[in-house]
Amino acid sequence: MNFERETLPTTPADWVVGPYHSPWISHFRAHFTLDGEIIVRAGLEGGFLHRGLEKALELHPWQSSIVYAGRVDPEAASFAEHALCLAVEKLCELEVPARAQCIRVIVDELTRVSSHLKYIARIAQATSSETMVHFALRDREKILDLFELLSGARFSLSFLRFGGVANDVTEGFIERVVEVCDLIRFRLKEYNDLFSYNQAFLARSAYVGVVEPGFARRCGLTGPNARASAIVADVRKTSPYSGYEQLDFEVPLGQGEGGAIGDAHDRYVIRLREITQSLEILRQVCDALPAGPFASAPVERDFKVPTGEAYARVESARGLLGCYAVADGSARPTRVQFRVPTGPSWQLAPMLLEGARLQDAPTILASLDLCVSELDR
Amino acid sequence: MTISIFSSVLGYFRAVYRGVRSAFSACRTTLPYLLNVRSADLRKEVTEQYPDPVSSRTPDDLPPRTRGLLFNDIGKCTGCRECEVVCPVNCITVENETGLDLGKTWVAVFDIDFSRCTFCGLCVEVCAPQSIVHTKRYESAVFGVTDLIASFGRGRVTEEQKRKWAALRQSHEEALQPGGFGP
Amino acid sequence: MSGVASGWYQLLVLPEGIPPGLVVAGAWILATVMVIFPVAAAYSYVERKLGADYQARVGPNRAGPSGMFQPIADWLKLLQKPNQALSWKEERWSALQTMATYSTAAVLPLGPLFILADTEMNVFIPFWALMVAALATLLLGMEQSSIQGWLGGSRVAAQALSGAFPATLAILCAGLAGGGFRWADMVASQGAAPWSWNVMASPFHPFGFLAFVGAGLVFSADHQRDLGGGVTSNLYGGRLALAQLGKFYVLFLWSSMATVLYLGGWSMPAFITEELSAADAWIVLFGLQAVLVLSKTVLLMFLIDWVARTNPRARVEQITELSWKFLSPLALFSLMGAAAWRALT
Repeated sequence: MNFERETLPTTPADWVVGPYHSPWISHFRAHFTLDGEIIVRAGLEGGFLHRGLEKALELHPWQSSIVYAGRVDPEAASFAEHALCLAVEKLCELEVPARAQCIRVIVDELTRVSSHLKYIARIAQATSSETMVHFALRDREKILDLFELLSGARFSLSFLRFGGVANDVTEGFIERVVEVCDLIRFRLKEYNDLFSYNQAFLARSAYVGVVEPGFARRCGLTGPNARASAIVADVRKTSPYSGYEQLDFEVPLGQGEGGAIGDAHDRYVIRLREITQSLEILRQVCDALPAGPFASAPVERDFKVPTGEAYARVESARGLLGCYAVADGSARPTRVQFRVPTGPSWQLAPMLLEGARLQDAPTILASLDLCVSELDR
Repeated sequence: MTISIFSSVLGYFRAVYRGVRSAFSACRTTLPYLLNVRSADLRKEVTEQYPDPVSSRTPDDLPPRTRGLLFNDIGKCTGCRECEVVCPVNCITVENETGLDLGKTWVAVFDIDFSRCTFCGLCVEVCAPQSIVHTKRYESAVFGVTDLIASFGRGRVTEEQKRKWAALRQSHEEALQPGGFGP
Repeated sequence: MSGVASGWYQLLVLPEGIPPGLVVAGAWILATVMVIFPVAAAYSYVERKLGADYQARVGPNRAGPSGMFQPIADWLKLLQKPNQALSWKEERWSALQTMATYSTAAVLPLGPLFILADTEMNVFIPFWALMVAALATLLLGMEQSSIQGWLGGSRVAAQALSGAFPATLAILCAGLAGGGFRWADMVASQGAAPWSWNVMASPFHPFGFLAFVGAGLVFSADHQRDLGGGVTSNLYGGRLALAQLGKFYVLFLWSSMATVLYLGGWSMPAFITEELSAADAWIVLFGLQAVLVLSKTVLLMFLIDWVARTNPRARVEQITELSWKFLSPLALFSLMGAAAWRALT
């Protein structure tokens, strides 16, 4: 008889999860050290989705760079495209006609709603509310159908061009946008009944993954994650672009309704409110779409960008997305670099995970809206 | 501040009440879906049952701008190679040779490698004669990766063909000479 | 076996010399295979279709008309998977778990004819068995020496312990109205109409019913998502199917016990019983009673499933807290109230 151990081992155990075979960790690897159910140490390992986007951008002409920018985050493609367009337009001093700006705003806000709906589905999946997952994705499908109507593709639109957009809106598109906005407004009530203030969801997300304002500021958090911690920061208000200065909308802040300010529930509720604000913006733009050309000039074969560097910021669904473009007068970019909003959240995640229960880990990771594809590029 | 027993008991019952009410509210939200009452449109199933054409969308139902598989009408293609240059993933291969008339291009090889194509639509946009277009087809499952290369080219010109063309050109020139048997 | 085996044993015509234990064991196996498997298959189809309905989906609709043969298709698929060989250490705990779970088939209340053994300990046998099954799961998890196994097994054990206490109290509360724990006695004390069921026997019995159903939810709540399946995370094929069947079975057992304890069991309206017994149509009568019990059970299971699917799942320590801090006082309150009611009326 061989007794290998006399008592059960109680030292903290290591557990590696991902990047596959895990329902709650997507495309990265997590290294946990668990003491029972408490996570003692957590480390996130990324890089599995690195595709060398920024290097590939240097090997192709400027016209093709839009396509790569759209792949920074394929599910919310228009933000990175917009940032790149703004940077290049700064370099070339291109004027964007008003109609094109409005179309860009429409596409951006629709993308924001779609991204937030995906976020809702993800956080519902993390807390095992199956019904909510299907409801949120069903409504996202309507927006993706709108994208297909406008640009021909559901994701990765590659619809923006330097100096405007690729094509005008199709006939009946604006009416469809208004219809979808009304539908989503109706559905938001349903979501609130079903999920947002459900006690089981509150029990899973209130006081979980609390990010204090000072901490958020030091980490450089932007976007809804920061606004949930009551930090006022929205690029559309601080440095407006593409006509946002003429639009009337609010920037919601976290108020700690479920529990503490800046917990997972706050991050969720903030995004619900942002969907409402986006619907408001869409309504304003669709009501008053100016006539005019949809692009300033078609991009020629030997489109050259004059020497210089420019940095442009947009407010993506996750936060401040910046594009830094360097040109040397040739047909190919010298360097394009994207500053992604997931970066600070990624660094914040292990700090939030340490000391949390293992069962809260899916909720925390889902509530931070980590997009690994934009992180790794 | 110490919490009195009364308020903690009250808090207990309030928590119980809220929990029960939210569970009921969630079930009540899904009740119309179960019973299919009133607005049948808003509550019906949204599953697209591919490949049944009854409920899923066939290529004909897709919007006109859908970026499906590419097709190049080689009759219109001038072999200008704009598409090859602009393609972000270098999936188009074009090789030109001289055709029957010395000024005309014979597009010998025009391959699109769909294993690389991102369906971005840039090639369609820059094509001047608009020979390359997006179809609405999206089903392209094959058994081997090399089967994904679609060839639209006319094929390489063989030596025999070159001789025939040279002979034709010569006969045309002779026909145009004064004193020949032309018009 | 006298006095223990109910009507079915006397009805059998057996050649001499067969030990009664063998007969009972054979009947046990038959009950598991002929009753539990088909009911599980049919219920899985109904659950998937109805679950899809309120999620705005279609559910299975390919295998057969409206997807009716989906359970058969799943079963055929699982049959062609290779057999998974576990280590002998895991095997012994897995066997203990399976035996403990399915031993409760002996007291599955499916009608006066179809109970394998009707004793005074009817309600407590499932308890003992499910406790043993939970312990076996815990030991199986420890044996697997993986995080999923350890934590999954501990969670199951914690849930089982916390769910047992209010469940026992709720059972006692029902027993007050039933006058005994034999299934036959329990059903005899209830009538066919909803107001004569045990759940309405006193103003306190509904709380007991709630506590019992809640305890069942606590017992069988599956929240192992973050562990990728807990104790069953490394199973595939036939073994995984058996594990899922076990989960279904626990819920089924619980619901059928709740049906008999609180919701009237198989008692049919008096005129039907009189008609059929006067006409000597025993098989029809027993068949109808079995169908009635099964339908009430399945309805209860569907309601529980509906609540589970539309609401998010709480964490495991929130579930056990629910059981200790809410269900236990509730069950205690219902028991004391029911006892006082019975004493005073």
